[in-house]
Amino acid sequence: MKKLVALILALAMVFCLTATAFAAEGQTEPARFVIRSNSNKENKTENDKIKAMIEEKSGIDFEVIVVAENTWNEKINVMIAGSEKFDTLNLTANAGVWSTYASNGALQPYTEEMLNNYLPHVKAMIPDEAWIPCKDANGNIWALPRHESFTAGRVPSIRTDWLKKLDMEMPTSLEQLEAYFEAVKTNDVNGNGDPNDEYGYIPYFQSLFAGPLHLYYLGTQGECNLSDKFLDEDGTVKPWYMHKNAWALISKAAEWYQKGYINQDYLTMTNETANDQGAADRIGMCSGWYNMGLQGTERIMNSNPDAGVTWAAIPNFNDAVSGVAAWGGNPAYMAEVALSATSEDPQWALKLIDWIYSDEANYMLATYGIEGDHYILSEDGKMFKQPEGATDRYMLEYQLLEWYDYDKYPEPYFGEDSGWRAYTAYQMRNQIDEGIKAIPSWDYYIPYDLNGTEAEFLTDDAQTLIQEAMEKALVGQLTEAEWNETVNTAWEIDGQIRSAVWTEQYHAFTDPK
Amino acid sequence: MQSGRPVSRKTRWERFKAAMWEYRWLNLMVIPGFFFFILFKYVPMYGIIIAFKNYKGAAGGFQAIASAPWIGLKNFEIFFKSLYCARIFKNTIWISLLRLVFSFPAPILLALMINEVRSNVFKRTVQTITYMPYFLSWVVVAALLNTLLSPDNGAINAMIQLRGGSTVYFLTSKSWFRPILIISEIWKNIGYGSIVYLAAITSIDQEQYEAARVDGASKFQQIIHVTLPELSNIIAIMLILQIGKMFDDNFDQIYNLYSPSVYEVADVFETYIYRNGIQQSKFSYSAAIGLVKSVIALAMILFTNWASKKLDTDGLF
Amino acid sequence: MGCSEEGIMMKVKKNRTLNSPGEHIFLFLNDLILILLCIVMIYPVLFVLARSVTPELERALHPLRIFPSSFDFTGYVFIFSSGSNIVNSYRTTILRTLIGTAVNMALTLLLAYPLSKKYYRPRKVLTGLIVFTMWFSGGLIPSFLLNKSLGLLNSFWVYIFPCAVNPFNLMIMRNFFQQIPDSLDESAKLDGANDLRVFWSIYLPLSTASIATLTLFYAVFHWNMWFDSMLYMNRKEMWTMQYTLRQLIDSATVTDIATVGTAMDNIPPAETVRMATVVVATVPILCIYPFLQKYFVKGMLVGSVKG
Repeated sequence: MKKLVALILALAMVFCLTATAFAAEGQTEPARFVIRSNSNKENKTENDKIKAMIEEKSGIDFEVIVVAENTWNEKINVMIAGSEKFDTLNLTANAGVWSTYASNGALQPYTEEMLNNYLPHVKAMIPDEAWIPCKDANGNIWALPRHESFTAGRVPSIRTDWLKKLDMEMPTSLEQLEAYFEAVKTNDVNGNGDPNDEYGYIPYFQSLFAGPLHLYYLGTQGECNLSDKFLDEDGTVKPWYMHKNAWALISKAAEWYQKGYINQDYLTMTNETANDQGAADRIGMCSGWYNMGLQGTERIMNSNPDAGVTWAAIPNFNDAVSGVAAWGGNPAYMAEVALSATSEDPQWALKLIDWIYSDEANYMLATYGIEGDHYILSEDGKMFKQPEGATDRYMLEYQLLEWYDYDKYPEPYFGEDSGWRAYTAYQMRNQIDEGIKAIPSWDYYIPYDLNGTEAEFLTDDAQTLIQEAMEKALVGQLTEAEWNETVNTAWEIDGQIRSAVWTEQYHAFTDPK
Repeated sequence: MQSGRPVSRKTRWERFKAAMWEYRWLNLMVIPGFFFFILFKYVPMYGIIIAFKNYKGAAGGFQAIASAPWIGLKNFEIFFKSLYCARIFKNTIWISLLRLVFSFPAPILLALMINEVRSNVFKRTVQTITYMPYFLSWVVVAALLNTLLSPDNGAINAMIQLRGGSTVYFLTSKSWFRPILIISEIWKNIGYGSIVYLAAITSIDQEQYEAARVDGASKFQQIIHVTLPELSNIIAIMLILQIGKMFDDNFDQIYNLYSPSVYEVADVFETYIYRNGIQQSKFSYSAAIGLVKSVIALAMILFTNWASKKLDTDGLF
Repeated sequence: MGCSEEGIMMKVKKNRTLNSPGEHIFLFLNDLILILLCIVMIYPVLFVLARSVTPELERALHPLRIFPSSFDFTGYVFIFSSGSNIVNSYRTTILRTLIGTAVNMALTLLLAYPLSKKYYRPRKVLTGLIVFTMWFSGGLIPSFLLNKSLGLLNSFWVYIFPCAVNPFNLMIMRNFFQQIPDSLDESAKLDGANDLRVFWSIYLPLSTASIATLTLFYAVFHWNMWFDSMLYMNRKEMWTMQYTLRQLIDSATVTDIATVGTAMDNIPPAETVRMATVVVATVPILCIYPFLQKYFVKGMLVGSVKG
């Protein structure tokens, strides 16, 4: 009997000792962060090492649950419906939209107490305007914002070496751009003996209608889908196809397609096929993101450094039909880290995020890795370089709140020795910063939510209708009259209902109280 | 007093127990598998009510489903009033018919052909090679088809242009899309599909072939009069199951190959559910359409089963 | 006459009886068509293989070439160097395929046999109930809730139990059992065997072709599964190989476009990775079929009861 008691006491002591070896005082479970997978950062070889270092230095245990973007909806829906326990949700895969999750009861708002007690450094770091896309009409905060590294991204880019070969100037109007396309089409610009294999324009990410032309005609940054809208003169919010210039946009795109300015496989193209065409030196201009053209043509430069491929961003066109002389971009701040309703004790997750931003050394560890090993600081500490292979070993995985403020933290160094693609992109970013205007979607910060409104039961019939009409128009099989008819049908079955809800929610958010 | 009919000595319950005892081994064998069905298939069946409720995947698990508001037949109403309802039905039925006429017999033909091969080595090689394409996912096959049929510098168009023709936009053409669907499906599935029939052929009694040969039947006639009738049962089962899958199974292939230009000939139940259900997290709506699909499929199965029994095969049940 | 012996299998001698000229032509055409078919089938497979090792620039310039002039293994390096999760995933998938197929086959055979017996009274009801589940199901979320309450979340067994019996395969097996003559069953029973013994000693040995077929079907099913891994498994080490590869491609192609061209940019060409993925995922399972082919032998029942 005595032996038994002794054994039990010994076990109890061992248990207590090991229990304290766990995490910080009171933490019973590791903090769980649900993040999206991208750029392969979750498969780097030294992730575990960095994670161990973060846990040790901060005293907080945590784990990340990685979800692929193409299965994001299914996975998150099932996690929410099944009341899975986790602490935060990274909304970037959902374009920063928290409203649908909130109305589903999946999130809990951040209270003042949480911000003051657990997130003092983060709170101090975030400027007032960054909270706008994170709040609802009543001022509740539903997410922590992210700081975008480079916002003016949807700027079209052009092959300046081709411009030189054709003896043309950088186009500053649509007419000049079309003249460039015509020249590319008729001349053998890439010098392979075939004058017909070059294309003036390849739109990545299906940006033929959603890219530069969208801003040129409609004046807004949008994707021509069900949530693409504009503010009409009468104060109502309407779907994009109701805009008076919508047909002009479509017929211009169709004109370009039929004249052969655009790659003929546009309707079935993927980014990979476009990159291949770039590698075969057949692209004269591209849109989608400012540096998409670099991916394909990089292969030419890698195999022949004297090939002389150069790209530059296209300046704003002042003759825009919409009157808006700008290209598209992303907002500087977007909602990112939302708090799950199933999180019973969010203090650990929030404290960890705050720890990252409490000191530059912590930030650099979580974002770039170990100093001297994964990155090397410059002498003034304002820039850093990455040694060869560093990005294979660690890259961004535990940067739990994405904040790229290069005034506050060291920025990456770029020079001629950074490689042709990186250096050209850097030069283009400078060029854009200096003189090219890019605007984000005009209402990105409004938390629209169709749940509980008459628009809740709408299907995607209108989207199908419009998309089919657009593709028909592209190949020249749709007249303006038919387009107007299609628009009317779409408005009747779908557009007017959505418009009513949007208008109401827009004014509820923006009208002074 | 005696009645005309003999009276059973045992009660119903005792007869039942006797029957269960008589089949005790069979009962034992049935239990593990059947238990699985009850647990994993029938317990979650309550989810069918989601089609009649406005459930949005709210947090709370089963409570959330139970407390979601009832909306009765509203989802069905929306579906049948949709602009594209008729088109979806038409496309699904058309494509399935094409599959039944072309894709269904193809593996049978292949099995018959492979069976006639004399050399064992050649036979095994053919079997292995033809079954390879099944393992390429539709994502990969779609990418390959895109490259092959590209209007830009695809091989087929290059050959057409050599002969002076003009570019054909295969994958966005309403007239070419369905044939491409069928041909690529046959290419991908013919080898794997023939395995079942090959297995069935190996269990045919060789004596029947001997008897036919003695009667003077040629190879061809032997196939018609010996092989095919012996295969009729398995063919009937596969046919019934295939018809049941008519409304499913379209998704991967069509989703990876289609685009709005061909929605008119290619938009089917599964793709519609994907766009309206999964992408927008509309659980109720997709559950409702799924239910429509299931009811129709069941009706078709019952009909085909009845028909196949009339034709003297075992049928499904 | 009731003189019966148990059926035994015999390999058929190669039939060397004379064929008429008509038959010669028939066989020749048969072989020719099969050869053409094989060429059509194998070309795309070789194409995928070639693409997985062709340098990017060459592939862009010569899209249809099968024999690259130089080899570029970055796709494979990328897959196998990435944090070594691929090794874990391979192990998970192989385990899953072995254990899962064994469980599948055991349950399917046990369930199919009674359903194939016409004298088994519950047969129709049970078959109906099973077939009903092929079209009617509760949906994704109720299944998820069930699996969660059974404790299968994040456990290896979520790969085995929820898909233990496939009704489609079950019906096929039942049909194969039905093809075996009932007389064998009856005569064995007369000799005093019970159902279990008949099943084990008579029906199973006679069904090697169908057992091989279904084993292949189930093995391929398990090998290709990624969806349940995505839904139920949060731990990377227990992902199936198909899901790991899929996520690898998705992650490599979905970039934080803001980081392209910046310090964080390091994406290998997506096409090479994708094709290498296909090869890595497919080659092992392709090798199973040739091993199972020896079961597809023409059988012969000797001394059966016909007459």
